[in-house]
Amino acid sequence: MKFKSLTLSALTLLAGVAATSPAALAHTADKGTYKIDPVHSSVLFTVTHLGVARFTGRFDAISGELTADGIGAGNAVKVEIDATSVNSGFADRDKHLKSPDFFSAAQFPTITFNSTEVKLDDSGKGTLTGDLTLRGVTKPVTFDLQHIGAGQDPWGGYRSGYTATTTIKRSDWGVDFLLGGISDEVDLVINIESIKQ
Amino acid sequence: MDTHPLLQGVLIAAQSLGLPVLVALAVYFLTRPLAAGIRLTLALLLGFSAGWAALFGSQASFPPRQTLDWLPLLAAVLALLGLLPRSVRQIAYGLLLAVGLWLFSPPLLMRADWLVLLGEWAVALLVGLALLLTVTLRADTLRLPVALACAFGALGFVTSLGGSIVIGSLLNSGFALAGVLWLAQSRLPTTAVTAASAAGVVVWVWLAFSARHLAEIHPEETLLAAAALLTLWLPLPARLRHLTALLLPALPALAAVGLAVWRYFAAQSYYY
Repeated sequence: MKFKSLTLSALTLLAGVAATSPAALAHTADKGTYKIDPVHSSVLFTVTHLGVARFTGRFDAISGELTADGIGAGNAVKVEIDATSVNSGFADRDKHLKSPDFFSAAQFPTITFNSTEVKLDDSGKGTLTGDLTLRGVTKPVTFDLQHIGAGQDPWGGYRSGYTATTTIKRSDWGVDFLLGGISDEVDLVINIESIKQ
Repeated sequence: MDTHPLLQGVLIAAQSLGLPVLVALAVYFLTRPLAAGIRLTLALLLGFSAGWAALFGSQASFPPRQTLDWLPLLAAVLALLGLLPRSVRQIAYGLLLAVGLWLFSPPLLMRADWLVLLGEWAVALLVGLALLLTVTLRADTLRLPVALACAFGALGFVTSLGGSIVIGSLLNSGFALAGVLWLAQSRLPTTAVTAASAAGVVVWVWLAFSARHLAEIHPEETLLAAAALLTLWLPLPARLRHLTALLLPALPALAAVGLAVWRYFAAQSYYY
């Protein structure tokens, strides 16, 4: 009897969550301003090491905001990444990555991206173009953009998520040390979950 | 263009050690008509600048954007000050040391308040002035280049192993040029060797400050490397003078290296 009651409670809870889950296939987010949820967002970078293997690291601290305008021209993205939060899963390597050999994070603690153009079609795919500032150098970069979904969250808020991917050459930003061991090409993946304000 | 991984280490060694020495020697021999002091100053300045350009030039910008961009400009001013009369030169070196430390401070200001910045700047300046005074007052041409080489070499190794290969390699360039100074010292007037050594101390303090604030190098290793210069205060025995001149500064330098190696293995990271 107790087991049955527990099962019913669990099913009721699951049904409640399902009812308030984001509409995963909604490819147009409600128009408005969104704040990036740092807990559910991530910035990943992947390089080739010694020409033989791929290695992925991440930044743990990301913030920023989005302006959603459907497929209109008013879409905008502003992202700030704390360069000192670089995390390769290895303390000594993180220290090296923060040094002037790579990010020079003590002098340039913030990596920023400010969009100049966001194109999204009805299927939720498009491009995100903007200025990436890394180590004090600003260069234009274009990401492939995909709107993952949007909808109500279980706590009464409204969320929208995107994934942006691109490949950059780190030397374009002056990060050109140890190009032999660590590839010039860096794959970037930015997964953003944002909360409507 | 990507460099083959196996050649990367050889290239960095050539850029930081070989190139500065080759450029310095070439400049020294090509400027024979000039006075010895001027030749030495030009040789060391251009040797250091060549190493800096090879290691960091592709990342650098003018006007300076990164603190390390200031290095060749400051080194050029330092070289000019080296031509001043001795009485004025020491004060000028001290002032430039202070200005340089201030220019190297922005990374510290990013994460600390002005009071901490002023404190760190003042401590670095005091240590730098103490080392400058040591080199100036203990103007022993045999010992100066060796002590300088030990200070540069120890901190270069420590920084390359534990923080930044770029800053470590710039320190290694200083080590190589101290070697050139050691080779040339017997043919040079004492004033020229002392002026060059004092200029070397100023560059060492700037790089040590950068290693601390840009590459998180521990102060213990830095102070041990600085102690190589402070051994100039210790008297040398009449017998085995040359050997002792080499051994005395080498001891704290080796201690700094040993401490860094111990930290490396204690962390069990084996990153490189």
